[in-house]
Amino acid sequence: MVFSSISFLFYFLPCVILLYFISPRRLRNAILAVSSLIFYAWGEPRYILIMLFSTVVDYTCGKLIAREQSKGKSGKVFLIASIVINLSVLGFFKYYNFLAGNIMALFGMSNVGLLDITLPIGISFYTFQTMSYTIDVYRKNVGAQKSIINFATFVTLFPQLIAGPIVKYTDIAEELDNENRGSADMFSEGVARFIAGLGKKVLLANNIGILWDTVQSTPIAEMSVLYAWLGIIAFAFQIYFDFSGYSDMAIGLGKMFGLTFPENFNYPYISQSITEFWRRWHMTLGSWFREYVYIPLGGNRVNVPKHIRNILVVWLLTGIWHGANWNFLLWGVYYGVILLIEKLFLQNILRKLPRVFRHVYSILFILLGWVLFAFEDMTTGVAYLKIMFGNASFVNQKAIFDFLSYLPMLIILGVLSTPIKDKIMKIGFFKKIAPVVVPVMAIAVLLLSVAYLVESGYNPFLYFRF
Amino acid sequence: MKNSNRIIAGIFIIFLFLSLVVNIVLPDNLYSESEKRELDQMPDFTLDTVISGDFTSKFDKYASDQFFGRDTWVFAKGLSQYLIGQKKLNGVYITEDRYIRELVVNKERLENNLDAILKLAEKSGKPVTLLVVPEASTIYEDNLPLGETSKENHVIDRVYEKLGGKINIVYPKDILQENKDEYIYFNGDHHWTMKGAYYAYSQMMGTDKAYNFITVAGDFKGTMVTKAGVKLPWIPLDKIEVPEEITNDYFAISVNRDGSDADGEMFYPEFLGEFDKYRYFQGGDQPLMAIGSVGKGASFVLKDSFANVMLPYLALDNEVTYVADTRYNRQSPSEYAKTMNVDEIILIYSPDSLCNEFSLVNLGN
Repeated sequence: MVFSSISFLFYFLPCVILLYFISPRRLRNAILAVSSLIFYAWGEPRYILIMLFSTVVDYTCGKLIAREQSKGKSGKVFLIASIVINLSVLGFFKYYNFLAGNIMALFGMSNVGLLDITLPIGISFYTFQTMSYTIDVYRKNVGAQKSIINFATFVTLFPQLIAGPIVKYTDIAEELDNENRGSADMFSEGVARFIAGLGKKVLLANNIGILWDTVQSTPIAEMSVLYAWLGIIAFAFQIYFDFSGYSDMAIGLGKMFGLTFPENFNYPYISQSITEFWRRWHMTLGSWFREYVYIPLGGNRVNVPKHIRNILVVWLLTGIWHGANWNFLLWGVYYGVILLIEKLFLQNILRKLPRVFRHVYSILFILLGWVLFAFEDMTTGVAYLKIMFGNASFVNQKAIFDFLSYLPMLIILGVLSTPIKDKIMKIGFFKKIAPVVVPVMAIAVLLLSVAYLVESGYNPFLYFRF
Repeated sequence: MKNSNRIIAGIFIIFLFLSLVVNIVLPDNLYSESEKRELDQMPDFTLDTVISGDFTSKFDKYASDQFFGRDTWVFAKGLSQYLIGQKKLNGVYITEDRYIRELVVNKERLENNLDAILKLAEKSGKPVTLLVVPEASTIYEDNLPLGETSKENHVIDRVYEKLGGKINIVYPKDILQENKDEYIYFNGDHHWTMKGAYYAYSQMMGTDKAYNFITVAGDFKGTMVTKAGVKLPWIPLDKIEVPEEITNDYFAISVNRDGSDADGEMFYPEFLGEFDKYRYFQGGDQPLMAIGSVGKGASFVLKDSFANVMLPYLALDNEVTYVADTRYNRQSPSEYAKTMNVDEIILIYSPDSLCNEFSLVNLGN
């Protein structure tokens, strides 16, 4: 199920809220776990078994590690077991066909060994989350979870199940065990956050997504330079508002049930460097890799060659995490290389340049990155890049029409990509009218989003791949 | 902040639960008049449908199709898109004073259809006339948003290149453009009006018979308004205007559906009270008709719905006019023309049909 659907908003959510709040507190985690299973099963009833399997494995490994450690042993065997099992499941479902396809292409064989498997929704998110649990238990950062219900609640938790943020067990361990968590204020804050996210996804991302779809499906012969730039800018907005809107909805829903998830985005498009961009974009993924890969490899406290290796390993993994395809791999390496260059010398130069230049530089490389990301077929991606850099007429009628049609939207998206609105809300006059204006706006966003969902001709979901 | 959050949360919860109750209590609709389609119904809930995922995917469609006040929500969406600068919604340009269908050119299908027309001319051995009815986007091209043009030129170029000299081509763009300030195209429907068809007819036949047009119905909400999803209050609803002089008394019509004949009419006043008032003409598209009238000779008309307002003029000139629609009638047109021993074949199509209607390949059968 996705949050931005009538089924979720007007059938599933009210039922879960009702059940959750009329139940005695000790049963609430169980209610969440069962509802989450229904939520997951909505789209893919079969793959629910994999998630349950993952839950049981990591719960057991966590317990066994704790038991071994209480006896003075390390419990490493069970940590390795947990990691191997998690990565094998992820590897099989996500990467088997990619690997097999490439190996066979290498040996010139036809695609005989390919399997008809679809990717279980959210598997990239929940395997990372459960792995964080056993690793942290092993590192004694957190005690093993005694209740399998509470652990299942963590793994299956529907608000963050299919598109993150990547919630580490330590993020919510305390709240999960606390039957008295949550408050009316936290609930209300959650609702407001959810509505904001819903609006971002349904009103902003989906609408600008139409422009990207139009540009993307335009035959090369009918493209122009400006049209290609307009298209990739549309994609940049779409992916940001889609993904961060989804994270907002997840964080909001978490709060409604008394759980605090980590933030995932912090105005990435105002970044002054690529290094900064990755501190503001999909923050929970970055911190996951930092904590469980980069630092264990030695991070930056090693000699230069090893440091370079560490960065490249992390970015190779980041790339391939986004999808089993060469373009994602290349996209990851692209960022790895830029970050290396920035670390080695570019940042020192950038620091001396005017702000505007730093911003333009960052946006330019982010947009080029999105071209790599957007085209799974790399020949098309390269052809698109060529058009952006002049391999077509400069401007055509299509570009003018679509630019004018979407200009108001682009301005809104641009403004909302910066913290301007937060600053405005701090000005005295706006502070005064906020108690009236904010609820009115929120309700307007909610109603308009519902209008878009009811007429749901266009409601694509970008993150099924992850 | 805390207080405004509480207000938001309160309204949100009330809205969610009220909607849940209203959606359950309100009876489900079978059909949407405004969208002209059957609405999805509650799917069967069985173990099989649930496991296969069939239930859930159908339930999602059901939930949005049967959401209370659906038409109002759809309107709200369309209006917001229009206000934010979208001048083309769902393939319909919304201009200052009319809704205009965007012509999507499918080059490959166009070529196949033109080939089929050539084949028809060869196989039948009859004189063939093709009347291409200009799209509203051509006649009112000036109204299109900046940067957009009608793509009809390509179609017309191909028609003349491929069929010129082999069949008779009538393309009444100029005469319609000269009279574009008259009511020759609907504001909210893609069709031309009976007055528009009159100008084409007078050019085609070289007559200047004068008619007195009267209004037989107003409040016609055209297909393009529905397709765009937003009825703007400042663009008036359409009306149906017909020549006073042409009445049902001039025609004896037999309609053939699935092999059995029934009596038909040229004009159906009962449809003027219905949603789709364009069905006033012959009751909508019919698979096969034979229209007897007061003129001389026999013609065979193959057509799309643009011809429906043209038929009254054409049929009057003939003793019998056979009319077929390839969408609902698969028999060979050339055979039929020979069997019925007609004097000529007239094809009436919009560029949209020439580019996108796959059944036109049957013309060559």
